[in-house]
Amino acid sequence: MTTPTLTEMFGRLLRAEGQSRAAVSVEYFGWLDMVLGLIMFFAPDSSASLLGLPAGVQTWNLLRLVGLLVSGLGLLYVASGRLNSQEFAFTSLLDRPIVPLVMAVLYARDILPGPLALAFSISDFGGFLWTLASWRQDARDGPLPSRPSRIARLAATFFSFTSGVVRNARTFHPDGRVFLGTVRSLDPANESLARAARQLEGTVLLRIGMGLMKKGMPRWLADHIPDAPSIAARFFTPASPDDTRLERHAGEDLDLLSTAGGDRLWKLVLNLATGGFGYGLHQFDYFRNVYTADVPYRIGDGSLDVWVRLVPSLDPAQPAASPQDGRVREQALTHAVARHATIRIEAQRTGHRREPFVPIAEIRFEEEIQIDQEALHFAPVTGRGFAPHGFLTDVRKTVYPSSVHSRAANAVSRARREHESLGRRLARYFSHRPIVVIEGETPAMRPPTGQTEAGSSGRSSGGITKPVLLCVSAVLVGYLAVRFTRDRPVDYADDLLHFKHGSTGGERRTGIPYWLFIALPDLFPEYLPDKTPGRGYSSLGMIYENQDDPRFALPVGMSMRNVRGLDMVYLNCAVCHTGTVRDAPGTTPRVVAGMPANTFDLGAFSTFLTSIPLDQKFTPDRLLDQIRVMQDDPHRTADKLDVINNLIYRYAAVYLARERLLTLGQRLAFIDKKSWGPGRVDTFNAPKALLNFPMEHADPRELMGNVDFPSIWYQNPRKGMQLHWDGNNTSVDERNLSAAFGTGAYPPSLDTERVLRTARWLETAAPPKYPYAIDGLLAARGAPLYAQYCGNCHGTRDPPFRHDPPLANELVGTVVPIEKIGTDRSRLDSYTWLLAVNQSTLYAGYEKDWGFAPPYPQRFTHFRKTQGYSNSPLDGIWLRGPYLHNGSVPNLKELLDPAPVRTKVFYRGNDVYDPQNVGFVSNLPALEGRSFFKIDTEKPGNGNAGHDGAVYGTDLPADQKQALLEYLKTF
Amino acid sequence: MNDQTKSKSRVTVVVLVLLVIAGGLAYWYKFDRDVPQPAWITASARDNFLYGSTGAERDAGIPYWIWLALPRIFPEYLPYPGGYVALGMTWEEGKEMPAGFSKKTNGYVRVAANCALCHAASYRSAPDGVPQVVAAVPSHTVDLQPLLAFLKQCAQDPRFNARELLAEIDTATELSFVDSLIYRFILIPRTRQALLDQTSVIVDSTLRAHSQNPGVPFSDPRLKALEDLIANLKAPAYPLPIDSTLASAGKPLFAQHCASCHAVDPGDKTKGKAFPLSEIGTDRALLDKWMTASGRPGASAGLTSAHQEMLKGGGYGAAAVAGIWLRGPYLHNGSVPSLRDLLEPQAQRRPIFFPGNDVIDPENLGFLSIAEEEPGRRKFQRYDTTKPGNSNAGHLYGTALSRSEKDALLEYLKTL
Repeated sequence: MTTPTLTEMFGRLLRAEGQSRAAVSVEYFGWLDMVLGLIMFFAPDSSASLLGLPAGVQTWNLLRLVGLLVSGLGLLYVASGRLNSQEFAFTSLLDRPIVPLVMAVLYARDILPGPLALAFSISDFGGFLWTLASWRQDARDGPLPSRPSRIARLAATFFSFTSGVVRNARTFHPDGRVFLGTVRSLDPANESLARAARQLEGTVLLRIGMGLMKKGMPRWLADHIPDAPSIAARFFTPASPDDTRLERHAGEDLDLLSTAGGDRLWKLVLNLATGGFGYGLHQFDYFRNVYTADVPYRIGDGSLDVWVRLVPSLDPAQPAASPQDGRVREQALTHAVARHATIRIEAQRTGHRREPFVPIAEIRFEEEIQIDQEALHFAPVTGRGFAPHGFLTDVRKTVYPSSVHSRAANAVSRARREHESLGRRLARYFSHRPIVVIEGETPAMRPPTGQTEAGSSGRSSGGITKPVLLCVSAVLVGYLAVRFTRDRPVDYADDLLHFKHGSTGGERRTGIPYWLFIALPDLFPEYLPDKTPGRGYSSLGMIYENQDDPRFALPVGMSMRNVRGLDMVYLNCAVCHTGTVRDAPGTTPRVVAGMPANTFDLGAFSTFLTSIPLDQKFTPDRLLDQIRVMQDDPHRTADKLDVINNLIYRYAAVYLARERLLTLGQRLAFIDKKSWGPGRVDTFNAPKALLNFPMEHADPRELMGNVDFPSIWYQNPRKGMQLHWDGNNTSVDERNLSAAFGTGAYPPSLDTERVLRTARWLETAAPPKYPYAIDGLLAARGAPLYAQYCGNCHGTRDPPFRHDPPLANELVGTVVPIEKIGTDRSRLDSYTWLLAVNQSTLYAGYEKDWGFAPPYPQRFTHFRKTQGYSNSPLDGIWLRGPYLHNGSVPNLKELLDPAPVRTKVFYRGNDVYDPQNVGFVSNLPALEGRSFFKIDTEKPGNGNAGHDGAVYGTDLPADQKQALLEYLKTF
Repeated sequence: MNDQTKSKSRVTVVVLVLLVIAGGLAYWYKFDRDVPQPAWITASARDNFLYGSTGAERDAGIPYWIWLALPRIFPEYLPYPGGYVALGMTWEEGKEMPAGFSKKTNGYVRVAANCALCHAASYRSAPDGVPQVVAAVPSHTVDLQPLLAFLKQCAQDPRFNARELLAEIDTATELSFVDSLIYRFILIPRTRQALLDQTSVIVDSTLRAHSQNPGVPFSDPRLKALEDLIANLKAPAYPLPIDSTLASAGKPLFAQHCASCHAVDPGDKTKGKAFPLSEIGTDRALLDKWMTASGRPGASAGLTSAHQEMLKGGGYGAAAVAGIWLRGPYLHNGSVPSLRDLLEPQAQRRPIFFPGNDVIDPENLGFLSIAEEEPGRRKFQRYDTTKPGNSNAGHLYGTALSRSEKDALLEYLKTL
């Protein structure tokens, strides 16, 4: 065995010919290793976080080193696989199964981290199994059938489609004339050439014609389209005198195809594209051209590699210039055959362009014959010691048979197909897809006679590899499909818990990833009011129940839902409608569902969330480092991020959350959220943000709409009342859905079922009884006073709040004009007719009228601009302080005072109760390290005027006020 | 060919035919299918006029969800908050779209203009009141140009692309997978092109032709039917309190000074003839325009009976005065802001005012027109009576009445 040259080895490496299955598996394994190694080398930080390794330069350098080694190993595998090294494949079968053992030891001794060890074990052992299975298959089924290249298959598809469907003829050289001739050797000096020339001797079948299909074209046009004549020659020895050899006899005959107009195919194409004048092309004279075979041939034992060309001998009688006429050309050919003209076959060694072409043999025309040209097929493959090779030959080996396959078998059949419809041709084409797997001699060379043995070869390969791979990938695909379509909220059996933590659907599109949400307060404590990490969101007034760890637990009013495999969190109704009451500083707060969230500062919360994405620390790296620390905490309440979610966090979730929060912040920017304080919100400027009104052009009077969160008990009796502080809507359903926008529940993301569950529960939810002492007698004295002064507008104490029988002028749940009530009008002005009509487009597409079915939700139709504030029932009024729509009066006692006497500056956010004045303690700026929000009633939107005067009871004597207050405690 | 291949190709043909049929059906369902508008629209003449389809959706309709999303995506091209209201549309509370837009499903849901875009008006009893919409009267607030300009600006913006539009639509509804593909690859690019071309968008060729030549009778049966439908609509009653004593004092004044020329009821054909300009003395630009126009061959087809009357009389017709409180500013060219101004000699009529507001001015009868802008809502056009065609001269009738007589006459006019 001789040692191949390095050049040859490089060639083998590049071509990777004749690989066995085992070699292929080795190569692919190598690619995998190389890619993994390079990832580790170039992105050690991502790899570290993916593998759960501690971040840091040391880790990174270690990973870089490992990556370098792994990719180096990968390179070895790739090269050996491509070189089809059996020895290497075998060695790898010895080596790779040991890897899991080694890894197990390294892991057990704490030398390698678990995930890394596991990854290597799986990849190496998997690779081992694959190679093993491939080896066994090689041994059983023999070598892998080689497949034509992609280009060859593409070309085959093109040509077979063109000639079978579009044309019903050969794609090129559709028509020609066929001649018989004889060949004699010219006895060239070179021994190999001489041998080859002798091999050619005998009979030759010549098919001479033009290249392009011009059937049906007018002659003047046909003659003007550049075209090149060609000669196809079949050298054969007739079995009988009248043998015309329509089909090549494999291994016996040689088909040599040659064309004029350029000695390479690309030159010919270029020549024709530019007019067809180059390379001595004579379109109207067969004999002035030189016909070159476009592919090189190896001759004899393969030591000689030559270009071959055919050179017709000129008729001395023929004039030099031929007329531009196809008919003349054909006549000349007829004459030439009659005088037995000759064609020289010449050869030149490849790579020796300067050497002359050596004449090796001569063809002599004998006669023109009439045969069925459709049955005549050429196959430019090895024959008579001439072996064509090169790229073009490879392509031809695939193209010719498939083209033959899709064409008519003979002239009769071609004529019949001529009148077929396109549909029929298509149907045939697709029902007999041409075979493209061809090596040398092939069954496809037979004309199509129905079913062929297409594809039957590759299928028999047994073994377990394929089924196992199929199963594994099916399971994997199934798992990913389930995971990435997942939409599963956390559900609660208890209605109260559902109210506090149930989902409205907001997480689906506006959700914040759970781990991100809980990492934020610890990573960005400087944005929190108390600037202290480790206390979750409690400094923003959010409520953590039952000694939950605020670092990990979700506060009341946050819900969780697994969306596409990620746990997402967002707000629900309870965030603004659940508050706390304490008897005294230091005592445990009572959490009351349905009361205004007296401690929660929604403005500060939203400012926190929308300003941190602008912080430089808001990067996947910093956040994931923080999350990693928190995940390792034994107090954690949620599952760790798995590998996939870790990737998603790093490459998508963090950026997505940033995007969402920034957009939210941008749209809400025109609202002065710092003026809210705990327990308040600007309700109706938010929908203007949702509708993206150009608020810079808005009437400045509408920009301040701060109001108290309302209580939301007893919704059943409220149906039909004018809801919201200004009474702009009489539909409880619409009011609920409108509020649900604040929890991220947009029409497409609304969780109808769960929102309805909360809505149903609220229909009858009741406020807790007043927990402190009530003077029964005093309260009894207050009852008639209430009836006299308050009941007409605020209804009765108990649901359904309307009198039975109804009063003549029952006003509960209706709007009192602003001139009459006299309270601060900012909130009224913030709700505009412009907004009201545009709100009618919300939930558009959900109307029955237009055939969009479900009765709930439905397009909003109830929003109306009003001119005053609505009377609401007073259920649980003791928990609803501070009072009036804008929370401008600290307690009920003061609400019974004339406006000028009411406190001008007080503090809200405290949940310590003040039974004396009926309301929350409001005179302390801070308590237990928490500062409260200063309300200055002189500031815009905070006016404490109105609800004042004799009819409102502010002129009553002190004892009557006391009695009224006592009665109100019983609500 | 053997039997096997025969049956195979037969199957292929059948499958192909079925595919073609399915494709045709899908096309019909998604792009062509005609769904009648809901009953609440077709049931009442008024709603039919304000929201009913004239059939313009097929040619000029823009896909509903694009229509809905545009003001939300491109607020920078709107002068004020309020979506389409900022472009001068009027909108009834609780209704899905402004008056003058119709929504109809032809395969997909589309929005186009109807008659009410130009022939509906609104009024408010007070600045903070809610606009009331009146069908089948000339609009004094709507200007089509800002709407078309807005749509064009949107289409010219590079953000008018499937990504941005579908993201916004996605906050409003959940398109099915197929519909979102249709929107992404067909409707959004096609709508963009239509908005850029502006040849048939929102307002279709029929309505465009009508606005050029209002006199040509409608050939479209649907439009004819709409025309008949509104024939019986009455002007709404004056919505503010009327001093009936004062009004009854004005009644004889009306009879004395106005009734000889002006009918009350537009159906009254005994009056309403045109008076020569030498007699009434109002601005002559319109008359000149029609005189020139009528000189052109074939022009008569575009002339309404009112125009023909005008040309015959050499001046303007005396219109019926029913619902006159809703029809300010006054005179044919809208050059006099209120009826009180109209009762003054030219020198005392306001030379510059700002029409377009829909807040009633009960004092002067007409609409408020002193302020240039209603903050956060609308900017008004400046009307300069010294500009050509804007003259507020003429119709000097009743100008000599005393202040109290004028008050009485105005009060009476509120009742008509």
